[in-house]
Amino acid sequence: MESVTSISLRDIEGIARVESAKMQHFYVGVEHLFIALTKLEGGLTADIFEQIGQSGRYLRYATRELAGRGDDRRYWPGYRNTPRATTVLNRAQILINSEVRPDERALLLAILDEGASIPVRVLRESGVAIDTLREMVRDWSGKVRTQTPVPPINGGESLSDDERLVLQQMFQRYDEIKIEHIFHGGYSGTTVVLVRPVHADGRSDAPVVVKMADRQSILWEKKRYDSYVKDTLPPTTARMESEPTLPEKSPLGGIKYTFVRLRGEDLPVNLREYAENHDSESVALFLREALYNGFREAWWGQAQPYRFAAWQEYEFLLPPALIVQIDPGDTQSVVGRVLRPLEDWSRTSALHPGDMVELENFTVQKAKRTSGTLQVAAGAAPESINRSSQIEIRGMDLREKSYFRGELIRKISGRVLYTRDDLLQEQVQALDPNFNILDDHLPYTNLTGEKLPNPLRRYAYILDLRISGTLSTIHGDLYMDNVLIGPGGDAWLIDFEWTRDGHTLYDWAMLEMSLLIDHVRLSIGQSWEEIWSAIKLLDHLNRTNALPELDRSPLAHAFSPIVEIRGIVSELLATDNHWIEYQVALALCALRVIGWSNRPLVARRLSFLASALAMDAARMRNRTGSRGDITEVTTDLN
Amino acid sequence: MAEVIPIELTVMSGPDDGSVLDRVAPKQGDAYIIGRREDCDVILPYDSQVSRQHARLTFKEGQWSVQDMGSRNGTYVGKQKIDSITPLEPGQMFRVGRTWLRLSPDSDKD
Repeated sequence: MESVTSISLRDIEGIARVESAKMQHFYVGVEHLFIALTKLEGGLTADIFEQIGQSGRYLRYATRELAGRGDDRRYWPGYRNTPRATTVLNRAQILINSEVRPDERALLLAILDEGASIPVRVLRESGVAIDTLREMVRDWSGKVRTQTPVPPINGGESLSDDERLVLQQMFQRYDEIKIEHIFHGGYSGTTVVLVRPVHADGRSDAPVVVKMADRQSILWEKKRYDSYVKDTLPPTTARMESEPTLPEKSPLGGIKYTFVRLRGEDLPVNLREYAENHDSESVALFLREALYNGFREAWWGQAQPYRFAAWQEYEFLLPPALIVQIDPGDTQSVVGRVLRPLEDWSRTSALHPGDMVELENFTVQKAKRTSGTLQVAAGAAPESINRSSQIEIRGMDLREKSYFRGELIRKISGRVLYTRDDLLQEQVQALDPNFNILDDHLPYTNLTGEKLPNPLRRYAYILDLRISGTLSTIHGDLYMDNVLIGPGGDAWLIDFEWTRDGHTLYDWAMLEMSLLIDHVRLSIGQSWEEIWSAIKLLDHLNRTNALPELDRSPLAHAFSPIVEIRGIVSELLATDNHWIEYQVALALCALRVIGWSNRPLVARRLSFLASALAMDAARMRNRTGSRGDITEVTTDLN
Repeated sequence: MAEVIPIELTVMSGPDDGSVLDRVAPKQGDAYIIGRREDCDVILPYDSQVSRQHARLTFKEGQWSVQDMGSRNGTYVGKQKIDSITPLEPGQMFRVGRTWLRLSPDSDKD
């Protein structure tokens, strides 16, 4: 069987032009030629990249990202070659004239020889040794490689076909894939499994944890890991030692976390499962000793003073500011209000369903091709401010034109379908249909007899508070499912998709909220009275940093990990005893959790009241004006 | 006072990828100006993210430096956005708008 593709240089240039048009470049550069090569199925390039463990899809993504999309104006008719592409194509032609076959080989050699193009820079950054690669290209014999049989998957019946495909590609050199454990699913369609790969001779390798999610998230996480996590981890924790697995023709990708110490039969569990089988004191001890002490030095302990408006760090946790409908048939040229990222429209109630809006300079966060929705926000870097001003755009034809994460959209207009107020009201209405969403207060009073504020009426004020806090490297999504406990009791973190420099306390506020809704919740029923009894304990904790001394109830016992977190937070506060920095974070984390529809009603009710309590705590401090660590301002960048 | 010496820049991305720009002396003063405007020393007409006057390059005491001129989209050295005058080593890449440029490895000789 010949697997040598006999596609000519001229045809490869044709594919490159298509790629160029997709990126709105209208010139042919070495990057387009390279992308064309990676797209030749069954060709030399695809084969060699597979041999060296590089995914063609990843290389294309990285090349496109480095080249950037062009704007829609054209400066010349047709397609012209860049000077570098001209050099490369001339060189390829010389090789072809001296009998180098197939043309694909000649072109790839010419690209590698030229040495300074965007794709060669991408290859170098991905750790590819160009000289070695060149030798492989030169010596490639075009033999059909024996088809690797697909290893069977043992266990994990609930996995989808796409997830199975990822695992089979990831472990294709093995004889069998044993699913040892499926961790509780997260909130975002992510699946995390513990896999033990088995060799043909029956030997099994150490188990690894595999995360599967949509491929953009996977690619994103790998980048975050490389820039923030790789060099800061304690010696015994999860590492990402290989490139992501991204099967062609699949919407999913996978990433493998390996653990230094994982041997034998003791398998890791996540913190949620651990808490179900251990007493609360062990959980508290783990939080302090393994998690906090393990990562403090590299992460939270390296905090720098940081003054910010709450929305800069926390707005992204809330539902999108707007859901906008694009109607391609809407030819009315009604001029809408122009919205730009980071302006205050996303925190005021100035917009209403039906309003025309023109969105300018938003950045793509996520494109969902099947539903035709696009999530856009302020920027592309991982810092949370870039995820502020989030808008969901519906009605896009994403099969015609594809968008990639980080891409800037100059201008797009549509009609407001829902505002954030609408979305939050809907979530709260689901907690109790009798709830009066327009009231300024809830029918509950704090320990000093004041009514708690209604979070729906209060959150915009909280978002605009200015906070004196600190900035450090943070995990960025630290809730119970993302903390694994290894056999030695070590903390292994996974899911680094949002690891970044951010508000130091965010990780702890998120973890507290997660403990509240997934651990404390187990001790109470779903009636408002029972939930209120938990909130009263939290109020007591806010005021005294401790629980009522005589309370020996199971509920109070369940609170001990949260008491421990408060102890940790007291060490991390920017100013001693100024808890408002933490209460603001808690209030907004709690508001996020109300929308977690895969959690039971009791969890969402609990988080709603916790949000109200934290907003109340933030208000109390503000009124007593304790040394002015917080001020009320309307904020607008610039 | 910065010295005035010839400069060689290579375009590393975009439609002019690979072209080499030689300049013997700045049109005005002692800094090479990069931008979209006709009177710049290095004109990048095809990149709408380049400001009219985007960045300036100077040579002082044997060292090339780059400085952003308040451009809308910023100037980057490697992956870092610069907010002050930043040294540039021969062979190092920097980015104005969408366009990557490389200071020629022997731009400090002559």
